[in-house]
Amino acid sequence: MEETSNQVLTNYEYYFEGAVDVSSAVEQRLQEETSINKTEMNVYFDLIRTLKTEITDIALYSNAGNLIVGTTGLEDATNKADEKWFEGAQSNQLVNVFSSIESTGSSYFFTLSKYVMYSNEQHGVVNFTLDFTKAIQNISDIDLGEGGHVVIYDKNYNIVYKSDPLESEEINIFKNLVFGTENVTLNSHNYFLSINTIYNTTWRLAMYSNVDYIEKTTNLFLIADLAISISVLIIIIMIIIGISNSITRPIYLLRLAMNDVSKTGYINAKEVHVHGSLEVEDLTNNYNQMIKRISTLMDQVVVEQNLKRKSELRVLQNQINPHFLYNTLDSIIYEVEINENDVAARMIIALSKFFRISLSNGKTIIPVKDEVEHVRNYLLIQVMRLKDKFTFDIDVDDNILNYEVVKLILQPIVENAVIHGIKNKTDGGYVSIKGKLDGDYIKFIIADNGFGILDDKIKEIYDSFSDPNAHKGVGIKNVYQRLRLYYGETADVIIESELDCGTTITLIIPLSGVQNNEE
Amino acid sequence: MTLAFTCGLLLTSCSGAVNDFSIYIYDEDDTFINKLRADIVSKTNQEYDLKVSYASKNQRKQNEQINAALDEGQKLLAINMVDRLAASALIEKCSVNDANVVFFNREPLEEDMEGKTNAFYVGSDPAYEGKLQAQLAINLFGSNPDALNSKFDKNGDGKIQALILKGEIGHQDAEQRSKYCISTLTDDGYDVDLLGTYYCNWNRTTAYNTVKEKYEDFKDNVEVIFSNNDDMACGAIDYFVEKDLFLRNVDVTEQPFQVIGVDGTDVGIKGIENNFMYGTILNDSEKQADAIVDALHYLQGSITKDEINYDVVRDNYIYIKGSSITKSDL
Repeated sequence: MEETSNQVLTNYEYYFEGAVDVSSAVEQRLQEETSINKTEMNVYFDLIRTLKTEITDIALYSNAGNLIVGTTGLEDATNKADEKWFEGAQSNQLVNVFSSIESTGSSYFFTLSKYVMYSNEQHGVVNFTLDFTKAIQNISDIDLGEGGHVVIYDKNYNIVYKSDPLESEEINIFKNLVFGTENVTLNSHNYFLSINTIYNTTWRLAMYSNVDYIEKTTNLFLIADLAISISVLIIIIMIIIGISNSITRPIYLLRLAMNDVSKTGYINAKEVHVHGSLEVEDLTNNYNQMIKRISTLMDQVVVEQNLKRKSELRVLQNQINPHFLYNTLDSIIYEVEINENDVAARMIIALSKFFRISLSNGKTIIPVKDEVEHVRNYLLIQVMRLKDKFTFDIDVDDNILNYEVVKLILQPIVENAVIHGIKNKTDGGYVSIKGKLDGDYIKFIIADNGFGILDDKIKEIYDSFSDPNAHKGVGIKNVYQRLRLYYGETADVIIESELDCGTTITLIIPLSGVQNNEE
Repeated sequence: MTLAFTCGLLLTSCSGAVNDFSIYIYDEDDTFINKLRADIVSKTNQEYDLKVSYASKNQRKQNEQINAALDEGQKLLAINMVDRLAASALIEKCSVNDANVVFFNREPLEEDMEGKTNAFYVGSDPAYEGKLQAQLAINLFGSNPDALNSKFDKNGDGKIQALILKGEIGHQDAEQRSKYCISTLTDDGYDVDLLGTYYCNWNRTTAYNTVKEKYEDFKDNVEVIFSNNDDMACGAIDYFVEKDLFLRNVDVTEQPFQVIGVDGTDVGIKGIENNFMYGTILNDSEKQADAIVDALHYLQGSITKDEINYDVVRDNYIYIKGSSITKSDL
């Protein structure tokens, strides 16, 4: 507020200083002229008026109050000796005398008069008419708040100019402060009052600024300031979160993906698509390449494992129980020695067929009918060898005979049934083999009426399926493994047994695998 | 003990002590004012707690300084105003605060001082100084205005071709010295041909520049230069010496024209000693300082008006009369 009033005062002082400077310049010029050339002086005055737009007229009067020379257009040639300003200038010869400000319509004027010497030892008064309108407009442009106003008064407290009507107590306030600053209450408004002398004049300037209003404005400004600060803060925080997210979020996603991998395993690992900074994208790409490479490697391992197991199983498959051959050959020799040549011949024929199918020119898959033929020859031989200790029955549906399946899957099961289930039975042994389509599966059911298998033993056999080092139940395990290998998870071997009643073993082969298998 | 000390502190910090005295100077850069200030200080520093403030030619700044001092409770001020029109406000302000003020060097308007019991003015007597300047000129040109000394009336036209180097516009000393210098001569019957009046603002450099600029206007037509103070006289001489118009090591009367100053400051005296300046009028700062002390004592009530050692004019003005100095007086 003090700054504002100082600014206003500075503007006024600048204004009056300008006027006084002109007055001094004119006085100096007049004093330096040895004689007045009216034409030259008129040009000089007119020039000043052009340069200093606030000066509207300049006139030089003789000591008797008669016009000597003035600006062009100045027509009032009456004698000024009795004018107040003229007398003022004469009584204070060293001072620039200012008249009160007078208004005509919207314009404000005052005059500045100075006692001067001219043409060596001539005395007179020079009078300037000044337009004060602009200077007053400059005040009204300043926002002093409600009721804020400006008063200019002379040293005798005569009002020279007031922007608002004056309150009665104001003069006393002025007289008490004289000059300086003070907080005053006027009409229940609080004002900051600043009074100062105006340089080069005997005038004083009083300015009231409404404190409440200015505080309110200041508060509004503070609130606006605060609001702006907070919004800027929020925006900055959002930007920071945005930036930090753009950096951390891809990393977070990558981490999630990596966690997933540890849960689902490398085989099922999916590629991650994360967009972010160059580094993160690089990391993602590398990760994806790594996943791809791992899954390729895994595939390769599976393929290699498969090949390895296939070759292992081929070996298994090719392992023909040599005892069966020796025993059969022994039986044949025995039959020949007792001249049962017919039986021997049949045994040899059966053995021959058995081995032909066993080898099958190295093929691993053969038609069901060949497989059935193979097991029949086996059973024929065993029936002959074991002197009809048991009978068998083969009942395979015709509609599956042409399907091709992994070879040598029935014989090991049947062998088990004969050797472990029936061989030691005194008589009435029986083995039945059934083959049929059941939905999407081919099922072979091998049943005997032997001693059956203990539950513990069954469990051991099942356990051995997944234990590569187990040797119990080699035959069944061999079949199970091969079925799984060729037909996948849906292939199965089921063992059901009832002690003293017999055992039923079911081979389940998915139809889909059968048709697609090339080997 | 501690209590007493604390009370003492409170007293001195809260209100001005009775022996506080503050001096306000319009500007730091004025040779005569500095001499006067030094004289005031040396005459008062035993008696008072002194404070000197400079206003840098800004009345508003001086108002603020005075306002602050009065708020502190200062009761005794000596003011060398920037704007002599501020006097009425300053006197009023002091009245409201029960303070006394002595103005010096810059004279308040009579109407502002009239009837004021808390204010005094002490200054030189510029009219008298003007007269003394004229008197020095008369010494040169001779006491018969109809038969001027042809040594100085170089063109022999019976007129005195003169120049005036003026101080500040509106300063009573500048106006009065110039006015009375010329009027004394004319009143005594001398014909004065005033070649020019140059405003040089009391300032040596300004005077040097102005004379340099205007030299072509007067050249060797000029016979005598009256300067309102020694600083400006020396500024003009600086130019004349630089231009080799003024000669070294000759009698001052041998110079092409004569320069007469006012103040009798060290620079002025040196100009006389060097035979560049014919004479000066002593603006007696010591006496003025002494009169200021009397005025202070009177305003404080420690002496009566009759006990003031100087003539009091119009109830509260003291004018200290100067005296002329030429080489023979040194």
